[in-house]
Amino acid sequence: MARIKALLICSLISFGIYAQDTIITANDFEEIEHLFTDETNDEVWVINFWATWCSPCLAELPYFKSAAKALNPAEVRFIFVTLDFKKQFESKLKPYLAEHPLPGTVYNLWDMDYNSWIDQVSPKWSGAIPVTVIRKGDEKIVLTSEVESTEELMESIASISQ
Amino acid sequence: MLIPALCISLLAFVEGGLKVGDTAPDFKLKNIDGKEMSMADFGQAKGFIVVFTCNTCPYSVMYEDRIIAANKKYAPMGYPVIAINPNDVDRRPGDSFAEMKARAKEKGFNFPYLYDSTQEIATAYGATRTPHVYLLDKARTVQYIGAIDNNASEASEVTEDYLAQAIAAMEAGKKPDPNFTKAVGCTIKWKESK
Repeated sequence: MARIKALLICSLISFGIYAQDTIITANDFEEIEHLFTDETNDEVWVINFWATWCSPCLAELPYFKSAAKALNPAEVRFIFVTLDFKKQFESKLKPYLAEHPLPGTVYNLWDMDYNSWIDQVSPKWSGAIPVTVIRKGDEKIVLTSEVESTEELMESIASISQ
Repeated sequence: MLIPALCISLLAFVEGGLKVGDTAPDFKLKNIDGKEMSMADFGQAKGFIVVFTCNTCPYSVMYEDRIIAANKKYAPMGYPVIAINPNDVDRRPGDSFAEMKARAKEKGFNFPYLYDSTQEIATAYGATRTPHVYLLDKARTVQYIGAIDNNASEASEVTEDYLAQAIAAMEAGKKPDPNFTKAVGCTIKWKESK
């Protein structure tokens, strides 16, 4: 019962039915490191790095929304890490998300010491955003260029969830 | 005609761009004053601070004052800044040559701001984001690749001044450490593949 309840809450959150009032802020990469190091996940995690000031990032978010709608939230979990700055949290990030809720947990990472954590996300990533990490257990793919369609994203997700 | 361009692209693809220790190719690119410029034009330079940057990336904008300050400090020491905008104008109209001139005037850029309209130089260097720094010595050997420092948003909170440390190392006859850093930045807006 608890499991079903948890699942229900999770799916409500992931479908963005609740307004996006839950933004988890992190001062240090360490606080979200588990997203990249925990290899016990048996659902696929789609982790997208973005920011409100990054126009190619905003352009690809609709594909993530349609993919999330089409996929089973018990099998694929969407996670959004925004690199918006601390000083723009109230003025930019919150209003944006109120208007454009995302289908998953939103983290706002404020760790400016980029060189200290970029390689922990993936050595393949140079630091340019957007970037998307798709992972399950010890399998991992990194999309280092913009996603250009829902189909492209779904194919990448499917390639790991087999 | 096509072969040199093809070779550069192929080389960049195979090698993944420049690494520390490689010799950076010189270029001949149009500066905002309308004249073409090469590193060879700087007879007395001890090195070059080549920065791939642009008008439209918020990270580039946050670093503008620091790039101006770097040129003010390091050009007299023999390390001029050369800024290069590699973005495709069709994808980023705000990065057009006319907009580059306007931005340079508005901010009072004290360094050349060149337009890599074919993107061959960004490709040959292996630049992936803006801003992206390549510090070269006199012989155009790459000494440092990466970020200017470790806090894009707040210059006052910088704790690692990578570029300054790398130049100080070169001046002391040492190898920069670190000689490679990563940073969040904007993707270079590559031309749509034909």
